[in-house]
Amino acid sequence: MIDRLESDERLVEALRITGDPPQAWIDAAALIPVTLGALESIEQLIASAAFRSRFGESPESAVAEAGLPASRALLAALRTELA
Amino acid sequence: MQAQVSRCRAGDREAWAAVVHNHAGLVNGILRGAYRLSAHDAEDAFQEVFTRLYLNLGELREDRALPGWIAQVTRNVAIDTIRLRRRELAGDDHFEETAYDEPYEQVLEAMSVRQALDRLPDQQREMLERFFVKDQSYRTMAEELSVPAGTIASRISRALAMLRGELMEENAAGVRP
Repeated sequence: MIDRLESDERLVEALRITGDPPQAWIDAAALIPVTLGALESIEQLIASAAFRSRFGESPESAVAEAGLPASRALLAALRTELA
Repeated sequence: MQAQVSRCRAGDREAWAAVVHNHAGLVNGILRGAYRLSAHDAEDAFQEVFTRLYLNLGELREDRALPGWIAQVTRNVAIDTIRLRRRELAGDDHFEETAYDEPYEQVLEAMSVRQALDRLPDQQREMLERFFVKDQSYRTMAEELSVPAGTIASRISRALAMLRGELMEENAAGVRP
């Protein structure tokens, strides 16, 4: 590997291509346990007429009031279930 | 200290966040650097990789298995994404997977550099990350670090020499990512 990476150019290229993605991607992935845990609560949520009504008014607020993180993945899953 | 994988399995969200943070560069490098996915596809694939990892934590017994597992899953997700796009655009999902073998290997090699960078003292690591990863100018670095602009180049040079030294030590010890 050293033979291939011995020049500064190769070191620089190596550093560039392993750069971190946008912070938002990392933050979203860090919330995967929360999101997947929340998905288990979906059936209970969509069975509630009050929740369905509130979700129609304001999805983010409805989810937050149910004590769940209003992540993009969870909102998308709820929209799909309630469509 | 308890291994990260077992802490993740036990529901430790800080441990999970650390796993994501520590492997984000590897996953991003494979998706964007090796397989050239668009930013949009790469974002979806990035989440897919870590979702699969989370759901399969039970299969992993040791932390050292993580990078290899993640790299392989990332590769699979990237190939699935390319196939999907080809089906949508050309009605045919055939492509030469081997065409991506070399850039994939380059990313794995590059991760050795990244890991060597992480072993450098904070000051040297920061100099290299600012200049080579974040593309900051000498002027910006000088302002943010409160040092004369004239010293930035020499500090980068010294940091690069240290990084090369780390890699040579690693090579001599036969350490592999």
